[in-house]
Amino acid sequence: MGKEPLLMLSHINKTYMLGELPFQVLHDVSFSVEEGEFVSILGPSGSGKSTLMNIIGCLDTANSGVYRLRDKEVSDISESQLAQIRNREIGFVFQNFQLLTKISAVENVMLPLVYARCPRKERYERAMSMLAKVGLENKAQNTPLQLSGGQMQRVAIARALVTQPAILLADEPTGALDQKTGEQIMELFSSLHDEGKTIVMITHSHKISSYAKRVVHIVDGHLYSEEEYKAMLQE
Amino acid sequence: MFLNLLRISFTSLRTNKMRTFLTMLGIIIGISSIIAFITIGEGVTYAVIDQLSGLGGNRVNVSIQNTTVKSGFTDEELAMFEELKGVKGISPTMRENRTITLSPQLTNSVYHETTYANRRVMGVNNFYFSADAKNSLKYGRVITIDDIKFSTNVCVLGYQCWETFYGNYNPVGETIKIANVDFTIVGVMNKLVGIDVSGNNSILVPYTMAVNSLGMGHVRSFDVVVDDDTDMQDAVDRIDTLCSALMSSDQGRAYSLTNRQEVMDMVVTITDLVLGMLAGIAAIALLVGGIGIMNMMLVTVSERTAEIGLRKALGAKPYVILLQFLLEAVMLSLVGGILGVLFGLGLSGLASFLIGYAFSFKLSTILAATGFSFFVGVIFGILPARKAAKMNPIEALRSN
Ligand SMILES: Nc1ncnc2c1ncn2[C@@H]1O[C@H](COP(=O)(O)OP(=O)(O)OP(=O)(O)O)[C@@H](O)[C@H]1O
Ligand SMILES: [Mg+2]
Repeated sequence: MGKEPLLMLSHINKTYMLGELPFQVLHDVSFSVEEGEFVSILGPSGSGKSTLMNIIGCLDTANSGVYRLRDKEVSDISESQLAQIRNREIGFVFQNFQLLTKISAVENVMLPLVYARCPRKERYERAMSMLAKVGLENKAQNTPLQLSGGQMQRVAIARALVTQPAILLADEPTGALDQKTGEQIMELFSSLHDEGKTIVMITHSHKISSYAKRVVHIVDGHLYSEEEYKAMLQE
Repeated sequence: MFLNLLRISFTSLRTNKMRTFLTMLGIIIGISSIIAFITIGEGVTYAVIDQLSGLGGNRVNVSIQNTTVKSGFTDEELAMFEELKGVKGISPTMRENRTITLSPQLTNSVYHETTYANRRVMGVNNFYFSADAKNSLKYGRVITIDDIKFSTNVCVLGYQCWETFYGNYNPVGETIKIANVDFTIVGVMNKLVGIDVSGNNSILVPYTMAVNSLGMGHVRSFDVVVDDDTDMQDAVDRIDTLCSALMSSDQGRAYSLTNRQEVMDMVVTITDLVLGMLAGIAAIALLVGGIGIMNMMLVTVSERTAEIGLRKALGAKPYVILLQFLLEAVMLSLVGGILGVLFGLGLSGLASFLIGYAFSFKLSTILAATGFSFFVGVIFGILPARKAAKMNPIEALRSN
């Protein structure tokens, strides 16, 4: 065994309480991602993808099991510490972009750096270079409402990358885009992967998941590798 | 970080200008009325105290109660009071209404009327102008000791009398008739401010003229002004002794002594009470303003749920979110408070101009009001800010 994976979940369970009744969403999920991988988690609606992503993204914690991110145990820590990990290690890309509409694209990209207490000038420079990377340096002063959907998602990707996080975590990044724009976004993901970025992408679309180098399946809160999934289908 | 949060809060307040202004209005009204009430109250109280202490501070009124025992004081008797140890001077107070007739043919001023019935005529002495109405000559001269001694036909016009009679014109040297007796105007007074402003609406004549030519009878009441460094009670005792010597009676006391210091204390107490009540009402207005802030902040927080979720997802710690919304509330109420202070000072400046006392304010009042508005922001901002800080980022993000 070499060094530990970048991200490792073992025997994760997550249960929501619906009133009095417990409802288990994730069942004994074990999953790891190596540095530089591009993994897709594929599953139908309601299978628990977002729940899993919230745990990976440190927005939520599991009821049981262990989650290690960059050699650090992430279970059972305070909300402040979770916030700090999200800020440093996770770059989120959401289906509906989640940009603040009252401020410009570059200011949106600067946001995570504000919480990283990065000086304003450096913030601006880093945000501008990220916007350049996603091909939007000439739209830096536009507000999100003055951008197309694809451009908004690019801004969101620039924002996710600006802190140089351990993983880029995307939940249905093409869900709100037309097919062609979606493909462009996936091209961008592929090129980021080629640069060595670690990407975990959640989707219900086979087509989108095919951009990833590895696919894991989630069905009713159970996680299966590609082989396990195929074997299961044949039964 | 703090600067960034300030910028965020400012941007958010600026985006909803109308709402921000309306919310601020509650604080502006609350703080400005508190400032106005307090400074107006202090100003008026100072003016009153100033005037009363201008009266020698310590002042006792002597009045004959039973005119069958004594109908009035003679000049000699008045002099006896004047010479008592510790007495600065005495100021007779005779006032009765008489008809005044102006002489339009003698002047180039524009008269509104020539005859004024029932105008107050006050018999005073020279001491009146150095105690009751000091430093308040507009034109000409005051009534002198010689005017008293020789009972000369001179008069000084109170400010309002002069305004109604002559408008803007200097009438010194003119003749007017008081109850058909000719008097020469030798001076005009400035507006008096304080408790006893009866001089404003009066024509002042030597009290000896009032006695001899205007049929006002004898001096039955006068104020004794006691030296500042004399103990008030000792002076009152001496005055009392002299009074009983002059007015011995077997029908009880024939005279009354009123200590003006007591009156002054009472005035201050009453002013304080009234102002306290007004300030209390203003504080309620401020409370309502604070509730307005809380209301607006609660609306803001729920409107911006998705933003809060996003900021948390991007790494904002709960206390940073708390600070962001608390700052917004504090900024709102602090700016409202500062505007309120300015507006309140404006109001109180206007009041001092209209009422006619010297405008002044204490820095401590302003600092206290500003500090108060700061705390209103903190107190009413903390609940919405905590609500924002405690939001679950997953649920908050989903609200978009
Ligand atoms: N806060 C919650 N309380 C109770 N049940 C929840 C909660 N969040 C999710 N669930 C349930 O957990 C299950 C998985 O939800 P999740 O959002 O992870 O699905 P998903 O795979 O992301 O679906 P989709 O593709 O539609 O986004 C669903 O059945 C959902 O009803
Ligand atoms: Mg989902």
